[in-house]
Formats: sequence, C-alpha cells, structure tokens
Amino acid sequence: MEDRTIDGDSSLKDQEITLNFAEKQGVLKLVSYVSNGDGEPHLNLATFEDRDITEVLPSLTLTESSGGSDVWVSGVIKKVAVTR
Amino acid sequence: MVTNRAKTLGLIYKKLNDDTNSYPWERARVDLKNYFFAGTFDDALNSLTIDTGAEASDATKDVQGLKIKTLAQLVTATTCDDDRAAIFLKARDKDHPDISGPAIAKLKKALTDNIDLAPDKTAADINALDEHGLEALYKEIFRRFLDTPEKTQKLCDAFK
Repeated sequence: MEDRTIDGDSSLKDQEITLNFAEKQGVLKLVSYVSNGDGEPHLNLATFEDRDITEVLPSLTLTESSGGSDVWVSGVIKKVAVTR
Repeated sequence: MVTNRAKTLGLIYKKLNDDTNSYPWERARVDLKNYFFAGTFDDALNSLTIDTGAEASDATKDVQGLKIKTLAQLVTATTCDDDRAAIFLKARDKDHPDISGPAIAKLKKALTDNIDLAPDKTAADINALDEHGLEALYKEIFRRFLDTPEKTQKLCDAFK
C-alpha cells in the first residue's frame, strides 16, 4: 500500500490527471480516494495498491456523483465517484 | 477512518528500516491487517470520538504529497507504462529464451546505465537480479521519483 496526498484546491480534472499519472508512472492502482475531513489545508488522501508491472490499467475518471466519497474539489467538499 | 488508516500506515513506515529479527514478516502481516481494518466502517463506528476533520488533517501530515501533474506528463507516463509492460512481458517468456534473454539484458543495462537512480546498488547487484528482482527495483525507483519523472525518463527511453 502507498498513500499520497493531493491538493484539494485543484480542479477535478487536474486531480484525475494526477491520479492517472501516479498509477501509470508508479506501477500502482488506486483503491480509495477521500478528503482529509474539513480541516486545513485541503488535502485528499489517495491510497494505492501494488499492481503487476505487465498489467495495463484502463484510465480512471473522477465524476461528481451523489453516491461518491467526500473529496476536496477546487477548495470545496464534493461527492466524487471514481470509475474506470 | 482516514485518521486511523494514516496512523496505522505511519506505524508501519517507522518499522520498515528495522532488521528482520525485530520486525519479521509475521509482525508486518499483523500491521497490514490492522491497516486494512482501520479503514472499515466498523472501525469508524468504534472511533467516532476521534474521527474529526482536524485529526484527519493531522494524520495526513506525515503522508507524502503528490504534486499536480500536467496532461503532457500523463501522456509521457502512459507511453512509459506501455513500453515497460511490453518489455517485462518479454522478460517473462521463459519458453522463448531468445525473447526473454535480450529483454532481461535490456532491463539490466538500463539500470546499470542509470545507476545513480539506485545508489544502494552496484552493477554486480543488478546483474545478479532475476526478473522478479528487476520488477521490484524498477517499481521502487519509479515510485521514489513520482514527483520528478524527468529523472526516470532515460529508463523509459531504454524500454523502447
């Protein structure tokens, strides 16, 4: 498992690009993505697991959805779902 | 849940440099189980009194940040990932040594040519690695330089 925080003041698209980058570059697979609560600074916690180095992952997409998790987006907590 | 997971992860990280006598696999396995359960709904119910946003924020302070990346960086990383996967597939083709041999040699040469990326390794260490050892070392290097991908670009170029 590998955890990284991502700037929650950035846009949803920038966060999506960054998470996809981490998966591709770091041979990782995202397993959860949530805000750090309502504190400062606005950070989202990405938890990755190891993946096989020969596995080619489909890209992931972040979308605002009522069924999603709490995630900081441009400095505001929103419900965000992660799909592939 | 975020607070508890981050705390448990922090405990694991602190022990990673311990020798195998003081931190054997059996203990690591228990810690990993704790890490898993720290993120469950039951755990959240058990820790409602501490699971505040401020505490979650404190707990994530020890987690390394990942800088926002550009689309161009993602495109480069995707190409690198595809090329890396392809060469490791060849390296695993044990039924065809004429394919796996050159692939493994290429993976080793890329590392020895960029040995500054693995300062605790010698060329002899790298030459002694099998395909599994190479995979572990490549993962370690690419994860260490997640925020400075330009440093690993020569490895990506070597996969082509």
